[in-house]
Amino acid sequence: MWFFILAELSVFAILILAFTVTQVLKPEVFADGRAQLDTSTGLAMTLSLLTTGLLAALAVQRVRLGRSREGGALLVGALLVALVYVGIKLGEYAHLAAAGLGLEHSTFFTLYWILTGFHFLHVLLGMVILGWVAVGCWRRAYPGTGLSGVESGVLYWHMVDLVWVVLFPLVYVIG
Amino acid sequence: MGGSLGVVVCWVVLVALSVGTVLTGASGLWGVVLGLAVVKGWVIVDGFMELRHGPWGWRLAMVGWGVVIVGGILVAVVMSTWAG
Repeated sequence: MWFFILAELSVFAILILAFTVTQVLKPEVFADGRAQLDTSTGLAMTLSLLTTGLLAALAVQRVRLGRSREGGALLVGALLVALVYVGIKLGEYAHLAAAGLGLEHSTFFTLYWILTGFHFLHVLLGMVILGWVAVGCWRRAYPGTGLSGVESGVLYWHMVDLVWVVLFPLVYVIG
Repeated sequence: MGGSLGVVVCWVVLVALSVGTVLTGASGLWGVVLGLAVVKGWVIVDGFMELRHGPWGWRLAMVGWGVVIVGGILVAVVMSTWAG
């Protein structure tokens, strides 16, 4: 699992560095593009992702204690909070698209859509994984000595969080 | 239960640092904003990913990823400032 996460982080590193280098080359375009984004929306998405991570981490600890169904319930809670992120992100995408700030509007928005869209897909995959693990917890499929499935699934979500704490200031905050 | 308290503390720290990111960003303190990103990454790696007492190589790789990326962004920000 760690090798997979490292591979994913490497791909994100390439995209983030591409965004960063282009910002050096076209600072005005990036300043104009960033001005169209709402920092408070970015903060709300950050809090949603981090809270999902908290509930997922607590779920792992419950399963370790043999309280598998409590872990499953926490994972369901995590999914509900993750849905808040999905709703906010889709709302932001719809707002930008309606304003004509699509993929081809400017270099900033080309990279914005690619970078955040790639991360968004990882969030969706992470939710599928957490849902799968939640079902396993409910069925008590993870005995005390066989937790790798739960730990790996939750670890994937933490990777999504790790990428976002770098993306958030880069895309929404730094002008 | 101690472990649960630990991850809750990590979450509180992450929330505080995220709010701090917005506040310092509004003040134009880009270096601080990027420093906070590194600290947040570190908290996720040590607290949520539980690598504080894990294999040092993986801990170094995960924390190092954030440090390298944020370092690259910092260089870009400095170069943009000079170019501007």
